[in-house]
Amino acid sequence: MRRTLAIIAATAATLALLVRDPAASSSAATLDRLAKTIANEEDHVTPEELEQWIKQKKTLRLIDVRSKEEFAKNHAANAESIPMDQIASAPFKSAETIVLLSEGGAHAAQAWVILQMRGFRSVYFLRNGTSGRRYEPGRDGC
Amino acid sequence: MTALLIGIAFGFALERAGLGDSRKLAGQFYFTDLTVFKVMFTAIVTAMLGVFWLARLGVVDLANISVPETYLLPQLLGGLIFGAGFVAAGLCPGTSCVSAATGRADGLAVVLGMFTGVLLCGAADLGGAALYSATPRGSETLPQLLHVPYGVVVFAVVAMALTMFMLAERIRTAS
Amino acid sequence: MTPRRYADPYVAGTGLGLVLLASFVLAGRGLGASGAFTTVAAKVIDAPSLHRSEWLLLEIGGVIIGGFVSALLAGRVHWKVERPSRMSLAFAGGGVMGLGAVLARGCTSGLALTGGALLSVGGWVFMIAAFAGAYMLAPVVRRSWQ
Repeated sequence: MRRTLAIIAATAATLALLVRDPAASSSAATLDRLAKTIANEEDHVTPEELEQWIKQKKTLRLIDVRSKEEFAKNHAANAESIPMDQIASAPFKSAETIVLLSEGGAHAAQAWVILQMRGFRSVYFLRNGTSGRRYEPGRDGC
Repeated sequence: MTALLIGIAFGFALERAGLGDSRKLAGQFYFTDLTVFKVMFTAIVTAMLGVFWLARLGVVDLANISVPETYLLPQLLGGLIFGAGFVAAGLCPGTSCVSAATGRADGLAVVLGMFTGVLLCGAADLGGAALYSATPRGSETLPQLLHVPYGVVVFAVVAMALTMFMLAERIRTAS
Repeated sequence: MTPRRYADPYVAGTGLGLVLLASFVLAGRGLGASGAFTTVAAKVIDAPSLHRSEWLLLEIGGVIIGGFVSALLAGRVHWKVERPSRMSLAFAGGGVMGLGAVLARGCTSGLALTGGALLSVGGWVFMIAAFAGAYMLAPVVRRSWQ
């Protein structure tokens, strides 16, 4: 009996060492990781960097999170429209590199958090959005 | 209610292991009876592996299991104090109830002593002391603290436990 | 009836571990004991350090029942009084454990077992400290155990 228990424990422990950890979607560790990623500025790209990535033909998905109406008016070449209210359920592959776009960058940054919480790691947003404006108190929009 | 049923199973398991007997428990600290160590660590390993795998297989959500909160200094000091009381009494809060339930008067004495001690802490407003609220760390776990994957810590704990069990079997004891 | 022998510690430990696991799965929380004591005490003295939990009160009621039933089935129920020195040390030890448990917000059941299984830092710190404290005081009380 003892031997059996020991073997079960040893096997279960060895397998635990080898498999992926259980998903802990809202654990302190995840939030900590997100905060550090943001602090290290590894969460966004500048327009220049994005241009580089497109030139290097990195396989990217450019996701515009503005409304369908705004997207229809004008949008970046090769951008796909996935409005904000659908971002939580839109399908993505974990291997894809996703760059989020919005006008001022705030919605794109928020969508970044949502996709990170869904488990996607290769996600970025365009800093300051497609308008490229820096935040100025008193000005409209975001 | 679930609490009652779980408690019944808990008390049953403790008594079956002989942990209602203060002499047996105290033997741990004189190396004459290592039952306390064996039961406790086997239980920890079993439940730990169970939680890891049930979570990994999606049967439970780790977010739904409350992890005790860490207060480093109070728990370090409290632990030392608790341990001292433990070896004097030969029973802990849970086992003292089991002991008393089986008719042992010293078990009852521990229960009454514990109750008194706890009352005095309340009366002395232990909660107001600075030490009491020192070094809070929330529900911190070893994997988080050490920045090591959960599975790695699980493996390490099991490896350590199995090694210590093998050593324990080498020590000639009454049990 | 001659009392039955106690169960193998590893088997009993596995059983205990499964009870703990069941508690995690069914109640979303682990076991406890000192919390039941503080809950009762809180009915007398309303102090913030006295943790309240009706769940633990019910659970400890179960512990008493379960312990009794197990002993009954094994022929181990009998009234037994120890000599006075043992009884007073038992009471004193209980008091000291009460202090330790209130300070640490738990005991061997809630912190060492439950916290241990969940890899709680505080749980492991408490457990190691408790073993250390016990081993340190053991020589002092050795006489009383003979």
